[in-house]
Amino acid sequence: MKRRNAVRSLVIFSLGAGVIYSCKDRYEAIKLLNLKHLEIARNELDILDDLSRMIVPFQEIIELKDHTALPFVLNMVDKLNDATDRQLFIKGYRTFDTETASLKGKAYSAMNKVEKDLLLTELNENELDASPALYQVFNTVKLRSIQYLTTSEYYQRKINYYEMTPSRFYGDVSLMDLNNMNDERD
Amino acid sequence: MMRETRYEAIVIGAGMSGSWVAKELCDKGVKTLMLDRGPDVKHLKDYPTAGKYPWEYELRGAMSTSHTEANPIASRCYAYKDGATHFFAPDDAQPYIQMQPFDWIKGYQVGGKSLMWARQTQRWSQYDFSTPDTNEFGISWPIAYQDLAPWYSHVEEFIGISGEQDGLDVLPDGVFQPPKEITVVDKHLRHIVKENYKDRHVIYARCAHLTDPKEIHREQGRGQCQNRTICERGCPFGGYFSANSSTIPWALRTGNLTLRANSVVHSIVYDEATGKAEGVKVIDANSKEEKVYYADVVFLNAGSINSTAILLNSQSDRYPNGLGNDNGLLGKYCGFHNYRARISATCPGFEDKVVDGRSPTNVYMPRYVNLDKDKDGFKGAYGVAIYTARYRKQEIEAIGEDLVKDLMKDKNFHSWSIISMMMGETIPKETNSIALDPKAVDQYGIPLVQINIGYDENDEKMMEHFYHEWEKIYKLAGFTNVERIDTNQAPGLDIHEMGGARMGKDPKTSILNANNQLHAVDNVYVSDGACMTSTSYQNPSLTYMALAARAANHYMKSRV
Ligand SMILES: Cc1cc2nc3c(=O)[nH]c(=O)nc-3n(C[C@H](O)[C@H](O)[C@H](O)COP(=O)(O)OP(=O)(O)OC[C@H]3O[C@@H](n4cnc5c(N)ncnc54)[C@H](O)[C@@H]3O)c2cc1C
Repeated sequence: MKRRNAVRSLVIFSLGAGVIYSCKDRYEAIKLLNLKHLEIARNELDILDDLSRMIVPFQEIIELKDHTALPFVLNMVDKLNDATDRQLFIKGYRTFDTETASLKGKAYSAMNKVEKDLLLTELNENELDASPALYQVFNTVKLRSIQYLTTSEYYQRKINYYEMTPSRFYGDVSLMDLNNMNDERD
Repeated sequence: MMRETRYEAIVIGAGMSGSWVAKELCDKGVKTLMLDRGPDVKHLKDYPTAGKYPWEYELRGAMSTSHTEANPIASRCYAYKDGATHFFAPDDAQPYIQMQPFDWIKGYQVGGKSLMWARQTQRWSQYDFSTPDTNEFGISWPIAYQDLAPWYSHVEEFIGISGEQDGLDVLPDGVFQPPKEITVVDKHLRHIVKENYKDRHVIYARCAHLTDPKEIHREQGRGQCQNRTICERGCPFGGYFSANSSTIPWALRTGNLTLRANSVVHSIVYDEATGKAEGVKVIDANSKEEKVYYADVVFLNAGSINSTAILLNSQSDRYPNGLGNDNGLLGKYCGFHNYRARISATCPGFEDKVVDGRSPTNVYMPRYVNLDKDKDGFKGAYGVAIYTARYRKQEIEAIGEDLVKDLMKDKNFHSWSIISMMMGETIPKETNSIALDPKAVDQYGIPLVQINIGYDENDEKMMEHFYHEWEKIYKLAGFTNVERIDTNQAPGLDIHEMGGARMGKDPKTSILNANNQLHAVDNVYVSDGACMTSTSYQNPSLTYMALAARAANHYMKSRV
């Protein structure tokens, strides 16, 4: 019980402080989000997590290697999507394996990396004759995983050079100067 | 009912305009009570989200559907974001009846909406004060630009406005701090407009930010704007003007101000014997206990709709239809600004240019229509707020490693884009009105407000003119992908509600005189937006503050 509380505090603290979810306890973290609308089996979590990592593999950035976007993705769907989009998303992850199996002769979970790449490329290019539910999952996971990366502290500081105080405004900067300035900021 | 302490003056509403009245009165030694229906918000101490980084927000600034479903009206305001929602009154704080769709955006706390405003501050010119005469609508203003000009300067100097001396008769200059930079596309547009039009000007949009704080600002404890652009959460530097960082602490320091938060004003109490207001009836927001505070003079600054509603609810044998409402016009001739029309485009030719950082302001085109008469096919004026930007690309086509590589590149930008928004004058009409519901009351037993305000044909014609003219301007500037946008938003979302107790020369056709006093009860001043005879097109708060300061000083003079 004590440990559970400690994990809960850690996750709550992490949410507040914007610390990126650590992948070690990602399913624990999802439980603690108290999702109201999504009930997800472990194998479905595995599919969604894998999808996020395949589509936006930011874990290759050394500073983000221990992190996963999945809790963020699910939290956004739970709290922001309307009922119709949410239902489609739920249908999509529940049938992801069966539908990919019927489309490709192999369930997503059973595919190797090359096969997954092929499938995701077709989905990305809107060329797969898949159900709206499958596309809903793909598009949502892509959108929110990108957002997770680009709104992370790492990205904001490293790529956007976000400063809160003092900040700055220059209205007419050449791209070359910006890049030089950014090199100096690095 | 308990009889409470007496004050010389009572100010109802501790927001943008009320805080100015309090400051002026307290500076001159008047023992003043300022009442606000909301809780106190102390500068610095009560800005809980001011230091929170964007990545610290669970939903990264978005609002959850459960929250927006519970607050559909407030959620339509662009500034109602995670981190600032606590400064917006939730929709159920004061229910109202929409006879036509009207989004009433409210900030109920000490400081009012001065905490969340966008800080755009332009003077009116003599053209604006005389538009009702030259364009033949409504009634004449009882004051001219020259009457207000010194008060504009007085307010500008104290609050600090960043701006340029533009030398335009349509938008008089003021007391300014240095401007911030504008974008490369702003400069291009400014140049094109200058080359092609004599009567049109793209100028830096004046805003209430300190760019070079003076002694008077340091005395207020305020410092330089840091370009944080998270102003609606409260600025710990006092970099922009809010009542909380400036006028209220200033007035408190004189020792003459008593500030009572959580005090919902029910009505003004009228003394039949003297023919004057004798005090204000208040309901404690927490205990619901009723109290009456007494004073020689009452200033109403609760925001246009609430000030008008308080007058309507101040009923007596002498004034059964609301205080000072002999002519039956109280609550009528309300106005707002038409913000429906926008026009967007792409701006090719600046691919090698970007902005770095964030600006709290933009550029602006003051009015160029209907200056001397309504010759442009509609009545009234409009100005244009212009926003240019170049955003980093985030909706990337690739997936996998390529996508991450794309996202990590410095150079991934969309083209420059522009969106220009018409800020249109609306014509005050008797039918655009507010009234009290005869039956329904709120949690304090105060009648609900019925709001019956809508657009009309003149608004549509003005929009058509704007679209047409700005398509031409965009073409001259070489902009592409030009798109007309009609947001179809309800009135109210402009957050510039005005009128209801308009000023005028004739007590038969107006509620207030040239000094913001009720014609009929001269110890009641209404010095917020309720007093506006017409709306013109500028963001109105600078004018409200100047009128409020002028009204307070009128009282001081009349008292001697
Ligand atoms: C997001 C946003 C952006 C804006 N941008 C601009 C801008 O760029 N430029 C501009 O000029 N204006 C802008 N405005 C509008 C500006 O905020 C208002 O014009 C200004 O605050 C009006 O001043 P006021 O004193 O009349 O009302 P407020 O500042 O709203 O103050 C009224 C006070 O009265 C209190 N009150 C109400 N009813 C009662 C009652 N019954 N009893 C006791 N107290 C009561 C309220 O709690 C409040 O504190 C913006 C507003 C918002 C919300």
